[in-house]
Amino acid sequence: MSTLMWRVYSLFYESTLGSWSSEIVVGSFHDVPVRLIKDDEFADRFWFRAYGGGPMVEFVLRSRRPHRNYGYEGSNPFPRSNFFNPHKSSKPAIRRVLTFQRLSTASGIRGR
Amino acid sequence: MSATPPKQYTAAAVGKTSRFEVEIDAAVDDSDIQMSIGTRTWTFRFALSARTDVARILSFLREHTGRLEFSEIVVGSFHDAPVRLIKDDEFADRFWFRAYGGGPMVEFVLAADDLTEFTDTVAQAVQDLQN
Repeated sequence: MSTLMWRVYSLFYESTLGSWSSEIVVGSFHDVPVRLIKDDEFADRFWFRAYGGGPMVEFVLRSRRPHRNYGYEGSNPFPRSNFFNPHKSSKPAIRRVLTFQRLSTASGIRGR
Repeated sequence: MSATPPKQYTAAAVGKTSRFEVEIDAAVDDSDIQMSIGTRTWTFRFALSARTDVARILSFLREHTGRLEFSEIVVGSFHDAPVRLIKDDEFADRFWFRAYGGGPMVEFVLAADDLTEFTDTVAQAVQDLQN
């Protein structure tokens, strides 16, 4: 495991031990740093944030929580009845994508 | 530490629904204008080229919702990458916001109920800009 991935893993692991803020730079997105940020308000909340002044993009990562439509988020993101029927409402499984540069390779995150 | 102080922005318009918050921020000292889209799970803030881009986004959403044809417009920029609003040709009610300029990319899908609410939110912001 690379040093960076070890630090990311450590940050996630430490979050199970308590609530404090912490952040590490994990890469870059169009010349702005991409940070993985640990929240000090909720033990299970993180952000991926690309920010370098002005424009910004961020994703919130949290534990699963009850969802009124599907029981739990992720359990049924794309009902079978909607497959291949373009006239029905779409509920795509992938709703957020962020790819960024990590050292000399690209990292990608996909999620609902 | 940067020698240049951060820019000051004021809120030029706001739109808000249960799932989305759209804010149009105008720079105090120059013509820079930014659009911020906030949801419970993501936030995307990018530069617009003009205030009229907000109305253009709304027109594009209204014109292409319900159509099964691919279409896209450039609505702004994220640092050096163009931000596009893209209409899907697979589903009649699916759009993407995508910032891509080669290599790194970020995109968000707007579909179904989310799309309806987002369109309402942008409509509020457009109305706010006109007042």
